[in-house]
Amino acid sequence: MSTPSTGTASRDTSGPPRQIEPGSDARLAPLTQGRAPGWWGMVWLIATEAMLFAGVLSTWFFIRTISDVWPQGGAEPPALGRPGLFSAVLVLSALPLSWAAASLRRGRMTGVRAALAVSWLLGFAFLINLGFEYQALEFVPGDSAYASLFHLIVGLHGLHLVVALAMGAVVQLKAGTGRLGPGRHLTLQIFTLYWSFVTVAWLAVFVSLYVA
Amino acid sequence: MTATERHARPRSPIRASKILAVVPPAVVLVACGEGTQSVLDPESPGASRISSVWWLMFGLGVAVYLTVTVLLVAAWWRRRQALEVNRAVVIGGVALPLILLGVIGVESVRATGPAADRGGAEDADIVVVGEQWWWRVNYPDAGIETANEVHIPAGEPVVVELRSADVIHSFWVPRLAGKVDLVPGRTNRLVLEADQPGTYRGSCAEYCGLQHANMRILVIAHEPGDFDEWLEARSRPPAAPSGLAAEGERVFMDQACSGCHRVEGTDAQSTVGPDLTDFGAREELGAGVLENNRGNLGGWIINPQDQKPGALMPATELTGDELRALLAYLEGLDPQ
Amino acid sequence: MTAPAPGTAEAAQHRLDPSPAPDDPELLKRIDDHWEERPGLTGLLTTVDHKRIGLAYIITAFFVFLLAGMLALTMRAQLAQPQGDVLDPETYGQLFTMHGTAMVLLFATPVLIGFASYLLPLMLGTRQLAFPRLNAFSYWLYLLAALLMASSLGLNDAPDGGWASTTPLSSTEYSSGHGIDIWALAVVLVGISTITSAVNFLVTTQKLRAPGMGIDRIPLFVWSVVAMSLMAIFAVPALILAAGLLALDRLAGTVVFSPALGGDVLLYQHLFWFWGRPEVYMLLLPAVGIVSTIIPVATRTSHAGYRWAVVAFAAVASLSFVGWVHHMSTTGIPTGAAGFFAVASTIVVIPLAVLYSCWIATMLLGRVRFTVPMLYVAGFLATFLVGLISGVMLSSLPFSLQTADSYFAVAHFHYVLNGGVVFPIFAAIYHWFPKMTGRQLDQGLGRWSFWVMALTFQLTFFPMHILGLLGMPRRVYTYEEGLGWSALNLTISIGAAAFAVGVLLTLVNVALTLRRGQRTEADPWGGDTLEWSVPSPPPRYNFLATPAVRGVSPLWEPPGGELTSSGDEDATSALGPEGALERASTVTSGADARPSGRVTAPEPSWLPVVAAAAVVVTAVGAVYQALLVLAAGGAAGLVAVLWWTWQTEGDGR
Repeated sequence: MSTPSTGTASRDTSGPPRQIEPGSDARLAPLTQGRAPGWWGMVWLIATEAMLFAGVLSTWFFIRTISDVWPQGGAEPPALGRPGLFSAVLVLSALPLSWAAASLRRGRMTGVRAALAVSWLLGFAFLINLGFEYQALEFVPGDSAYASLFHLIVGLHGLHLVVALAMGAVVQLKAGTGRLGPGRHLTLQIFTLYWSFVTVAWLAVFVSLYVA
Repeated sequence: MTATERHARPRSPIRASKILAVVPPAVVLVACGEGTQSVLDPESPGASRISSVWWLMFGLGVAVYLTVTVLLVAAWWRRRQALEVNRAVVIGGVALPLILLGVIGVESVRATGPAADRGGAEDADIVVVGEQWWWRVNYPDAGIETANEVHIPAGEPVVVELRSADVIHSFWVPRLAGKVDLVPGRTNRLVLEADQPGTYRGSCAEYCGLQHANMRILVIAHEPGDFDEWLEARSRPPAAPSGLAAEGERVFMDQACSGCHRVEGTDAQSTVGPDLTDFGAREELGAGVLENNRGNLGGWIINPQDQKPGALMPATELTGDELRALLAYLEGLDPQ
Repeated sequence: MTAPAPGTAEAAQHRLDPSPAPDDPELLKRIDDHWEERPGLTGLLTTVDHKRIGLAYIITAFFVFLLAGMLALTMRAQLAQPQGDVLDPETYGQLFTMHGTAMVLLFATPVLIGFASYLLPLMLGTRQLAFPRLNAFSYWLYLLAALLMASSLGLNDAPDGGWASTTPLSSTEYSSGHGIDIWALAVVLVGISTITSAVNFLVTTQKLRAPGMGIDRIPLFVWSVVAMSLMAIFAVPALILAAGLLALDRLAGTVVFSPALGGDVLLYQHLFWFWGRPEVYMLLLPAVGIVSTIIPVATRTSHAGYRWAVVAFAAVASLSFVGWVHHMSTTGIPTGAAGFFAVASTIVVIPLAVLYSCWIATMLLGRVRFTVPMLYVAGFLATFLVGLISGVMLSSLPFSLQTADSYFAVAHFHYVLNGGVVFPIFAAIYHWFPKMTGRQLDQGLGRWSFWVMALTFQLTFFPMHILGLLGMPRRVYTYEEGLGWSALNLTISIGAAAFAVGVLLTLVNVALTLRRGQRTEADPWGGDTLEWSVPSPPPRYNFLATPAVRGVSPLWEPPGGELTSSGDEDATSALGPEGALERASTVTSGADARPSGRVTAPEPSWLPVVAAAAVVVTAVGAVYQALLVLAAGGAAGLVAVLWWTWQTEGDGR
């Protein structure tokens, strides 16, 4: 015989009644809360991204721990003032998003679009400033492990910010064309998560590279 | 599906389990047979401790394997026994393994001291530098350098400092000690101790490129008196070569040889390749590729790439006379 | 018959009916039409069906398995005798690098992801994965990365630094050419692909379980995939970082791993093993999940100690994160630290012992049927146990100083990965083949294949333990006579060739069965999980009506009523055939999986394959320093992300 047992021998018709009243199991009754799959998808994506930043910042501190001098290679430690100011700008950029969410709940699309725009402009200002600071850096990646990692970490964050800004533009477009609107909140929720992550990640970068 | 078939089937896996259970003891017998580079034929206090940890773990491992196998076979034969699952899991899955791990853990911790002895704050007696694909061996106190052979006095611990000139290597002489990596940018240490005089084979244990396989090392343990003599012989200025060997020395200096190799007391002072000052006394060529004798050496000099493709020593073009002279010179580089 | 114990196959007098077939053939046809994909190659490139993608994963991974196996056989030919001259050292270095990389990253991980992609929605009782297009993206990225890696072999520029590509051997100074560039970037791509799969599996399990499938009723295979996914989320970034930094050092002039400029070479190993250690268990856990799925079916009784098993998965997953330094015990790290990590590595054995106890208990309580899948499971039980024991040995710090990087370690990880993962994969093939194809593999040929594989496995890998104890280091292309290694090596080489024959027998079995295998019913094994309640092969929409789950072995539970409408219309409207008609699935929430909404499966789309291609083009541009290509790929990738954002469903709650 080539098919294995199907267990037919053990099937008979005795047993509990066939019908159970629908919904009689409490577990089967509907629930009216819970997040959408897309929201959770972004949460896990952020978790893994957070690990990436944690990894690269651990690398930073690892190198720092084994170094006799810091910063290496005679590099000047970065100034605090201007980057600190623009860090505040980036953190502030996350606030209008809760304004956007509130407006969306009330169905005020103008408020949503204005909030998104403010947030976007603040993020963009941060990016422009980052570009200027980057140009003013006195060391290139090949100078030392310190220089490599500084470029790399700031660059990695910048890349995330560019993606976030591009997504922000799309979200603005969706808000303008009705793809984001009353009853269709998901895009804004997901975008808010990502944007908030990018600002928090910057804080971690700023504290590690500039302050610590 | 019929009842007969159901009963007929369970036989084969049992056979397999039996076979699996019989293999390990057979293995042990084989393992004890040869000992030239064997972990289980230790000749130092540290390696002996590791070996006894192994035998403990091996015994326990066999016992565990047999027990589990018996249980599995029983599970196939016996059926539908009432079973307190939680209790079975707590005993079989948590308590017993914890006890066994505890035993092994205690024994391992006790063995770690001697097995992972790094020599404390003592100065290193010997510095070994790993290079692609040979070992530079330095005696800083005596100011002498040799290659691919570490000479030590038997019966006393010798602190070895391990460094790398290029990539990561690993110094592994199984009968004397566990391996320790040679990491560029870092310095590691290892204590070598041989209970008995003799030659102990080892090799590089961390993949280090093309000729990782041919990066072997010999640890040669001498009677303490002999070791002092060995050291002293190398501290004396070498005797000047004469006759054919003197001609060989000229070949050595004129040809590519002196571009990379150093010989004490001559113009050849490059440290790119192995120091050849006591070359004639070495047992092997090319970090263990060949036995050091005239025939092998001639072939090696003409084209090392034959025996050790990728090695950094290039082929040479010598006439027969030049080669004969060179061989005489190199063989004469023997302080004893 | 006396009253059977609940939760056993005997109690399953009433299987869940294979979804109430609507009397209306017209409706059935309309549902089929709604799920139809485009024909031919276009259909394959645009597919969002988790089953097609799962099969594509499995088939691709098996090609890699055969290729990487052939690389191993070539190496064994070289090592069959001392001073062999089959291969030059350069080729040998490339072969073992590719063999390890391919087996771990391009075969074992993807094949398990493939099974997960295929099975998760079916086991959870839903019609789709949470993100069908993301699943397709994962696959295309994997496939293209695998092709990129394979191309290096074809261009005779294969990576040669070992599968870990440890620095500084993997720096441009010691390995010029593009081999390691390709390795590093392909690894990054495969890493991204693994993470996107992991996100998909996690959210699917969180949000798309059939109503009633509370967290105490989730099939163990799904739990194992959840554990694997969580590990991937937290561990794979370290791999991406290690390989990414390596690529930047090689291609962009950074010096993170150069000691001369303040970098450090061990840093790479920390990053690599922070992933590499959990990776072993990322492979092992789904394999163990397969074992925990097959044993109950073969013994016709629910898994003993279900909660123990779930806790064991969680324990393995978390403990594996504190073992990475143990892979560096010979690098000269302080003994105290090494000891701590040694203890952490050892403790992982406890949850695995718990699992063994559960399996034995299940078999004691049930009645074992010797189906071919169960044979492979038996092979797993007998073989993996050796790997477990040698694992304990290796985690003894002093012993690991002798055996790390020796053939003993090679023996150990082949017992774990080949014995512990490949055997369950073969069990899975025999177990789910009828579900996937509607045809039953030949059981006689399957038995032959098993016995050849199981016995020659021991012949191949057991002697490696002894070789290690006799002092043979790994990754050597040649060895001397007279050290007692020659006979053992010859045995191993013969065993390896014979093992290949065993694998080929299954391959022949598959080929023959696909041509003229016996047709099978929906449930040839009498299984207990939901995938067996639908036809073989399952329709595109999986379930006409979403089943209501009332136990951990839903098909062995007495049936309950279908949940068609009760209160919240929005949440429950996707449950019945009308949900299938709308490509919709029910979203459930809470630990007890109550309906809370619905999602609609996207239409077939070019987006995933285009996005994956864009990412790979970026990587190729980086390897060959072609900035235009790199920029074009990057821009295309960004556009794809934006397109995706644009398309994100706007109807979440």
